[in-house]
Amino acid sequence: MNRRQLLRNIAIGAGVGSAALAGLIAYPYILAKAKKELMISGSTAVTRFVALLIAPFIEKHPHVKVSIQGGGSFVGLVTLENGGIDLAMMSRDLNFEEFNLDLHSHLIGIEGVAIAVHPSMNINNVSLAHLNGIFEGAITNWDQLGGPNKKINVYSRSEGSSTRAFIEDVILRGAKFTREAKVLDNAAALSEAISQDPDGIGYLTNKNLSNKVKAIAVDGVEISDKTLLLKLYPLCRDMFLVNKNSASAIATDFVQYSMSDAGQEIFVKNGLTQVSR
Amino acid sequence: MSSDSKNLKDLHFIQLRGSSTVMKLMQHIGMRYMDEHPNIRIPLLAGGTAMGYKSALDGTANIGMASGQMPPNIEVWAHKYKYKIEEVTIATDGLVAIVNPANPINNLTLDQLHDIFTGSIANWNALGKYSGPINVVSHDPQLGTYEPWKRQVAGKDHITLKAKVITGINSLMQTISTDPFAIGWVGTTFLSKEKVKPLAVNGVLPTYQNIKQGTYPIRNELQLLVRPNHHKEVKEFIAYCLDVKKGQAIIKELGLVPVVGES
Repeated sequence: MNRRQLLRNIAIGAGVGSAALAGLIAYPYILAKAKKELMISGSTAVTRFVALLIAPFIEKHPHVKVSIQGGGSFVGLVTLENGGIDLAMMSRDLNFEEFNLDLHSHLIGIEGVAIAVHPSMNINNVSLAHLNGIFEGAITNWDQLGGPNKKINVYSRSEGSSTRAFIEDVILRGAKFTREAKVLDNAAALSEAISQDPDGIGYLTNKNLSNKVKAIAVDGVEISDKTLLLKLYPLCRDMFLVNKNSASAIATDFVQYSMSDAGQEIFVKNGLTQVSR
Repeated sequence: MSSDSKNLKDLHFIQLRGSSTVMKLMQHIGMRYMDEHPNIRIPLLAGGTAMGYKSALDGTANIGMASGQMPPNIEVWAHKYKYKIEEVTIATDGLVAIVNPANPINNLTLDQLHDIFTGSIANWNALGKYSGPINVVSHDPQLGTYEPWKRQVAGKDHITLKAKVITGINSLMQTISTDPFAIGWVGTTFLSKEKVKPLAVNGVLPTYQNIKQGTYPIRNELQLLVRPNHHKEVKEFIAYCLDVKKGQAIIKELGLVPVVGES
């Protein structure tokens, strides 16, 4: 038994060792190749938006190869600092430990998430604590919020939706959505469902709001471009591109493009709040 | 929403970044300013005073926000790249020592504060009818509130290495309100509604009048940082912040001492 375990461990060790060696040999080649390209990696939420810029950017710079990849804000930042990529995407600003005079983080857009109810619901405001209760399933009746004595019908998006991930991060903080929640595949379907359910509640990005549903204030603040820009509305996420001092000209061009009229117009069309021009 | 963002082409953006103390003011002034100037948009980013200096110096923000002097490492860096900025003071704030409400002490001298924060007094029984270890809570040096307190309270000495270092107001308030032996400090704007007790210094409380007249000794200047030759839009916004009837009036409403007018 012990011997078998030992042999297995040796086998695993050898496997890991040879993989590392192969990586080490390949590393300079990967690096050499990277220098002719623009490599962007980081937050999955930001990837969805930055990816939209690549086609129009390549049109202007036909000789550039752009590769983009998710993986998370922190992974992106570490890879940038190690020289593996040219730009990191982050869905938050650098924190105190990450603050570094060699790094420049540029705000490229803000995503706001609205809380939507049926237009006839006589509730205009909800606190973050209440939202937590509603989405978790601890608060189940509108009269607990000063509304009618009706059961709350929660509408949610399917797993993989980054708006859902946002709500899970900011409101649920690791807890799970109530099992009672009706799950819909896209924002349009969710909006449609709430517009037909007087007792429904759900979440939509700013862009998907229409007058078929009512967006209610959160912690007393209504969602608008102004309240998002001023950090007054709590359900929002800043998007950043981060580069090093030593960034290539192409990398800086891409950052500038993302903050230009053309780049911002694409972001705004897809639901972000404009932050520069 | 879409109706907000029509006429994209006419918009001007003035991005401010840095001290969260100053950002609180800018949330109010910015809202009023955008309402009065429909073509202006004001994105705000926090990140602390160090971030405020850095972003103003390297141009990642149009205006930096600071609540203390430039950190030495940033000064060296700015010198190396020949970056320059102008500092515009828009308000004065008082910095106040805070303790748990269970602590019976209401007043300390500036010398006693020095000894507490540098660690030479380590037990409350040296200061009054209270006994227990003094748990010092310090702000992270990247927060603007750190520097003016260190300068005015610790002087040439260092804040004790035993201090617990916090990086945000919420964790500061959390620590002070749950630890009966803790002591920390905060800008007066953060005091309202909090379950902590502010202490008088040399018998003087940091009220509006006492800060304005200079009788309260520990003060902090709130600043906007701009590069020389900034745009017309930035100039106009700063003029608004300094306008007695506009920005300065809002600053006074928020309980801070304005720098212009009413002498």
